[in-house]
Amino acid sequence: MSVKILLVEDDAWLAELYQTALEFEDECKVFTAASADRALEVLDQHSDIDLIILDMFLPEHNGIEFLHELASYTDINIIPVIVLSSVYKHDFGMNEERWKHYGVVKYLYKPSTKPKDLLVEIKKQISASVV
Amino acid sequence: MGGANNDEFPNSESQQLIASVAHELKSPLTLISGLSSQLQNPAIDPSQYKQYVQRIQFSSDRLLGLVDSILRGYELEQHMLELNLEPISPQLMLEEVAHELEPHARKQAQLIAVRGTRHNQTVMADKGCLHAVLFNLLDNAIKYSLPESTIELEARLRRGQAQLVIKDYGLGIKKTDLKKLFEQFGRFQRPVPQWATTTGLGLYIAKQLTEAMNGSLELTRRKDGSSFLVNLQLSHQASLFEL
Repeated sequence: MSVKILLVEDDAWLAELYQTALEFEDECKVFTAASADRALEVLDQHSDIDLIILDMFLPEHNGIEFLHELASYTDINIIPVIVLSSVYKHDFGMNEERWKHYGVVKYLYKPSTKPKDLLVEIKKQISASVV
Repeated sequence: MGGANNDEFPNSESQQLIASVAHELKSPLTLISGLSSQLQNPAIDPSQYKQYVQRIQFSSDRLLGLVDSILRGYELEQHMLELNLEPISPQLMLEEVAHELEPHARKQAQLIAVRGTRHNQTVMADKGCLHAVLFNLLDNAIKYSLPESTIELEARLRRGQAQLVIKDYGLGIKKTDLKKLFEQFGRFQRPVPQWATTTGLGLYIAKQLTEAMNGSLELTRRKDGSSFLVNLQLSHQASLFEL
């Protein structure tokens, strides 16, 4: 599997943990961004990102603001997004249609998601998008 | 941006407390859990193994620091906290807390600089409580400082008192948020849902504990960040006062 992933996570140790685990296990190429602004820059520089993994609590602009901005980019809004957050999905008060509009294909609760669980979900989403 | 449904938020104080404490503890626990799961990978290389173990150790210590301050805040509320006020070097206490949280700052490429002091005055404080206050304030400063910025700590004399300064270069605090900052569940305007942000409880506890030690906690707002000021009585003042 050769997959390019953009990991948007402001906790440097968690970002490194996921990046190492994903790149070691499955030869993924992981780009990291510690802020929403930096993530948009990475997307500008790399048009071949297959998947975005997104933390919601980010400095300056949060995950929702990032998704909103992403949705306005018609050329890159087809990239699937896996949200990885320490807050329950229902706490954001958005319905499924809204999440779907933002390209969110899966919402994972961070404290109970091990790196290997994330990898399983990535494989699932990538194979779904290939089919 | 999608609005949050207020009906789903915890309403009572006890619900808010549980939600706030739980969120406070989630971050280090998530890291401990993730790192531990990777340690079970037999293919992990020795240097990475050592690094992960150190990070687990640090995250556990940080978790203990947070739990300790939450418990002290609770004991104070319940009038169960017994303070043991004694002369303490503020400089040494700042250095101790800086040392404890230095790995937390380093992971965001931040630097903690403890300025040297020109005096050797001691303050009257409860060691555990002062530790909890400074731990909370520095943890908060790290959380809201910009990457690669410096957080400056200083123990100085002001208006005949000791003033412990935690100065950050961060996102700053909105003027409208200043009033509610030290409330029990006061929040900055942060990403939704607002109850889940973690600033309120830590600063509230820091303020309550400082006041219990006959001190005060102030915040000065700058364009490029914030400074938290912990004012405490000097130990010689306290003894003169008691005479």
